[in-house]
Amino acid sequence: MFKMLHSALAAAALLALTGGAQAADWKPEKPIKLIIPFGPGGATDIVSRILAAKVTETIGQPVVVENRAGGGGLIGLSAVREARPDGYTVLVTTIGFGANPALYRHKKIPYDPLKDFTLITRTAEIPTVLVVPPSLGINTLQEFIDRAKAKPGTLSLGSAGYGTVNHLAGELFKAETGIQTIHVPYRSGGLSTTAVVSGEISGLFATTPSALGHIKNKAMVPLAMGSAKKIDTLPDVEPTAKLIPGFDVPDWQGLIGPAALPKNIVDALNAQFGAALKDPEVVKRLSDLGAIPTPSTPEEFVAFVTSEVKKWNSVADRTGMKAEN
Amino acid sequence: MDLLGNLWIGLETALTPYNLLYCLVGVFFGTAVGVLPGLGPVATIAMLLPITFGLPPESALIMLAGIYYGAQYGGSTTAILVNLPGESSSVVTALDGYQMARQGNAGRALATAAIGSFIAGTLATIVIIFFAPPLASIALKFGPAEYFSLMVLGLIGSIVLARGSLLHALAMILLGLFLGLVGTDITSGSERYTFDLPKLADGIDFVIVAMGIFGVGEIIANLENESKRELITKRVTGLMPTREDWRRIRWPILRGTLLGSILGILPGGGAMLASFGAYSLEKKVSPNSAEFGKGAIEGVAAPEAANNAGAQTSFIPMLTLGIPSNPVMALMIGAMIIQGIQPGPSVMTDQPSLFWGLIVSMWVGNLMLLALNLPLIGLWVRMISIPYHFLFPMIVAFCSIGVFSLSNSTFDVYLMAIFGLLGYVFRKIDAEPAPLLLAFVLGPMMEEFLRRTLLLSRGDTTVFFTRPISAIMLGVAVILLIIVLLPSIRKKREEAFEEEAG
Repeated sequence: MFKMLHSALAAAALLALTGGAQAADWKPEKPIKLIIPFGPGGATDIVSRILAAKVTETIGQPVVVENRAGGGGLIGLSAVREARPDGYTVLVTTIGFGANPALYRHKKIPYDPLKDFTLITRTAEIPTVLVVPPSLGINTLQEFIDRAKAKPGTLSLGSAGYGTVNHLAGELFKAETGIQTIHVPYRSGGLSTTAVVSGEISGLFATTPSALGHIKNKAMVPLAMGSAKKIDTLPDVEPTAKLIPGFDVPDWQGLIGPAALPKNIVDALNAQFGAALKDPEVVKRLSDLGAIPTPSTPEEFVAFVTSEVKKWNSVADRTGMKAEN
Repeated sequence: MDLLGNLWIGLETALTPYNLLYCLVGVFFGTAVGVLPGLGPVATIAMLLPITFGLPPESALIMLAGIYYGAQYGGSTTAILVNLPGESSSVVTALDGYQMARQGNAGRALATAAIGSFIAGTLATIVIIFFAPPLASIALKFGPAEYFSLMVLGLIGSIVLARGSLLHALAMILLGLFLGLVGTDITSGSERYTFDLPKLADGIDFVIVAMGIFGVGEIIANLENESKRELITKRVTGLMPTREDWRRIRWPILRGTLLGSILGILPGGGAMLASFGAYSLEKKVSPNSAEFGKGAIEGVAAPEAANNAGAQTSFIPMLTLGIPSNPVMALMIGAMIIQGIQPGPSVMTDQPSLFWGLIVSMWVGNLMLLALNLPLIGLWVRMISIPYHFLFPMIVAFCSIGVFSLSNSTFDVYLMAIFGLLGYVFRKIDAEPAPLLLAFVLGPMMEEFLRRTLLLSRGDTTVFFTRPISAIMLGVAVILLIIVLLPSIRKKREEAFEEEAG
């Protein structure tokens, strides 16, 4: 009897001890599910798989990538929103995360990016570049704007669909310059790139990795970076921000979890993914893909998403963009 | 002579023991993925992509390419054996292949598919070697207007697919178009027929519809009269095509290869049309057209040749222009970028060992597939002689796992069950489901291209007739429609005359 009590006490003490250890420094005890709200093979998917492989090495448990595609990322997002906030279900989200509230505000807003989720860290971003077909005969950003103003509604900007980086950058461009262009959505980034090469559309805010080869082969003319900074692989291309101050639309990615994720879990995941993003091998892999690692604190990520939501709401005010027309 | 030098470079690259091994690994995985319903080459390649980081670029691409064309081989196996098209391109193979299997000719059907694929693969490799650069430019000549007209042609051609009543065929096409509408409209971003279910926002996956209507529907029908089915599979005849078979499949394979090679180059759905197109063509020109749908060997040979040729030539725009003709090619471009190679015309000049090595490896891979698949035929054929009450739960389990793996959703599995019931009903009322599937695929694409054409032409519909390629295809479509309708019109008129006379 005494022995039993003793062992029970010991067990309780052990429990308290491990519980205390957990509060200070969270260590996962089972595999972590990393949801990608898109199909396999896209830039977000590939970058996340590289990160997952690295974090698996350091965190002591496998980080398993699960693709939950559909509804422009909404299916994956709702899976995470409904998951338990225990750190075992997280998701990599992209630019649409902060833009959806603006895109869907005419009907039911699907979620609140700041209240329904816990933001853990930004992971990476892929710079964008405005490209046009050579047959268009336009070589500078100013010429593009002038042509659009001289002949309103004749120039078209492609995209990989509503709420993608190509669409959003185009909408911001319209809002800032006051020009009228036709939005031509395609099923994928690849098809919209092809449409520029064939001259089917007049322009595209493309992710740089998808455009670099075509620019080198003179199958596309780069007018300006869509993201704020110049990049090494396109040293002669100035950012759009030079003409339109503050213009910065990269294809960003970040790690999020369900609402009310405990602070120690957020910090542990932030530290693990942050370290992976600074690992020289990972940095090289990402830069080969044209992606730039952007580790951040949770607070910085919150501030960033807050500014994104504001930005896209303001664009929607000015251009009337929405996910349904 | 330059060509010989290039081929030599290619042989040198593809035939190193290291690359031969990766080619074998690729085609082996590809075959497995093709045989397993649901799991497709896109998902497989995406999952294996991180493994290729450490490999030299040639080996990485040789392996990934092997997965892709290996899957085209494997997809036909389940289509023939158990009426379960694992890939969209093997739907038409199921039409006559499964009938052959029911008649005890599964071995001959499988061998025909493998041999047809091999011949097509060989010829398509030659096409790539000689004509890659000029053919690539065709891909860029196809704008939305041309695609729309091509789809119209394809849809009208699909009426030929149907046996039996023309009215049934039309009804199935309409039903297919309707099902294809479910999901988010690309052009406007609006959701249609989704009943506010986020799971339907991206539409219904083709694999779900195909596996439900063909595979599960067939199982339900078989369970109705199980004893009959067992008798059928007991008498299995030869495993290899006979001399008579060879005579019959010669031209279908060549025609299928030609059609597949051309359609494979086109970005966006070309390869899918290839197998449907080849089947429709054979049904029209074959002296045995009455046998189609009842186990005609031509109906296996032509589409299999077409889809394999299309899979090969779809590499042309990717390798020469850096533009992807399908999601798999988009992944291959990703793989090249990771390896530090910018896809585009410069690949051929800057990376000759990669370019020619990959092309030669395709032929080597095809040879491996033949060597891998022919001996397996005996094994496969024995598999279907397993008593049906053991076999069908396995098929259902594999289908469910496959469909679940599409997007990790049980909803999709229920959806497949519903389509299974629908497939059973179609069988009962004797309605051929192949036109439904073609319309299901083509309908949304047709709409997309129509609206994109009008968006870019600012509402001007004359572009369909002023752009030459589009005009020619619409012309052919009209002629085809007349050919299809003529017999019934003539019959009606004769009836009318008889009534007048009477």
